[in-house]
Amino acid sequence: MSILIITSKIDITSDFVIKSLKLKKLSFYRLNTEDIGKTIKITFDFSSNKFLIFDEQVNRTINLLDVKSVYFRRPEVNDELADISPGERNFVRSELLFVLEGIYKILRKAFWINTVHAIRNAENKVFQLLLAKDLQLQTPDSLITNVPAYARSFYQKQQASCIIKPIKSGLVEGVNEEGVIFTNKIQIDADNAERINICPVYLQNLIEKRGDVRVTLIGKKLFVALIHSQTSDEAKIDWRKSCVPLKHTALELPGEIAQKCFDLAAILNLNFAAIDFILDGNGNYIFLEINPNGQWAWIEKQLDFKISDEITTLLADGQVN
Amino acid sequence: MKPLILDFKLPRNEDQNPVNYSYDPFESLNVICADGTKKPFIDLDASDVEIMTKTKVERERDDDQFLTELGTKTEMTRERDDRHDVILEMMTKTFTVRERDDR
Repeated sequence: MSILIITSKIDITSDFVIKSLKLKKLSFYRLNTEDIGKTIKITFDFSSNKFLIFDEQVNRTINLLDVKSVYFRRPEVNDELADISPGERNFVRSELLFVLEGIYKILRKAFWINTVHAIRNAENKVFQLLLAKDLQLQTPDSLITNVPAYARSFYQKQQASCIIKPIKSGLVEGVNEEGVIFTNKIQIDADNAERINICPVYLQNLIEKRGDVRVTLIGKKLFVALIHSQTSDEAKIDWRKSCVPLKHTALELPGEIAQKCFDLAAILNLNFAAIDFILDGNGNYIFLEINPNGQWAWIEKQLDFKISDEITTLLADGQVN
Repeated sequence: MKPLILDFKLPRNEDQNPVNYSYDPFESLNVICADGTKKPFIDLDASDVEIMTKTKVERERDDDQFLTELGTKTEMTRERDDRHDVILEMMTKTFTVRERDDR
């Protein structure tokens, strides 16, 4: 067994990779981590140096030390725990998470797309902006603050044309609520400015777009899609908001921008990245963010990009050639 | 006092895929059963959606509601053959699966 996919059953994107692995007749195992504690048994025997996963559904044993390449996607932990208190649930959840962390450490010598450490390191949007500026990528005017006066001053400086977006992710998740916060146009005035005190806001100038550009980087290849976001009112500011599929077309990046994508990924030790730009009316590529574990399957479908094929080639090679 | 950023919170529309699929551990894939045939969910095509939607409609809801629940407001005017693309796109685009902290 040479290739391990670490994910969960609901991750449809991993299905694309599995299909490609099958077509290439490559040996793999899909570890749906939410089944640890259910149908998946783990044994780390330090004295005999055996680190085993037994999947009783398919009656298969995986020796983690035999894994050469890892594709890390969307692991989850078993939440179906009955007859225990909330505190005990948190304890068990924490134990399961640390077992997962242990698996990642056992696999530390394998080739990863991407390592968990690299993903966590790359996710911070403040860090991303700092690196983008270091690389002299064009970025929007940006301000993160919880000082109402600074926010209002920035807003006025941008001629009252600003967007607000989450500093981390847009997911709002709780026991009884689920929501999402996209990038939105904001109006800052005396009535709402004080509410900036409580939680810092991430503001940028609103840029007139020709469209949005999603760059999917895998090893030394780029798959570049122009998302025609300006054809839909709903998608103009944040294309992810669209409830209908938007038109996509394949695009070629200017050489300098392409090189900076590779440079950014190299700095962040990423073999895979989804990088978002605005393409403005003057043909400028304005960096928005880099997602080290971003979605890509819908682009493969829309544009017939061979993304899953490239990922499985990289996993089979076990290195970036 | 409510933080300003929370003014922009929207409800999520995920988990409303009208096509029944399930994970098959022997295939390591999510699969659908359409007309008695098992195939990968990601290979969903127009005819599968037609068959599966018809079954679902007969069972529990009308066709218009199916599209609305998918969040495809303007999709109502699209050709029926496009539906499988819509489903797959909505299932694999950002925010359509959990985007919480990576484990």
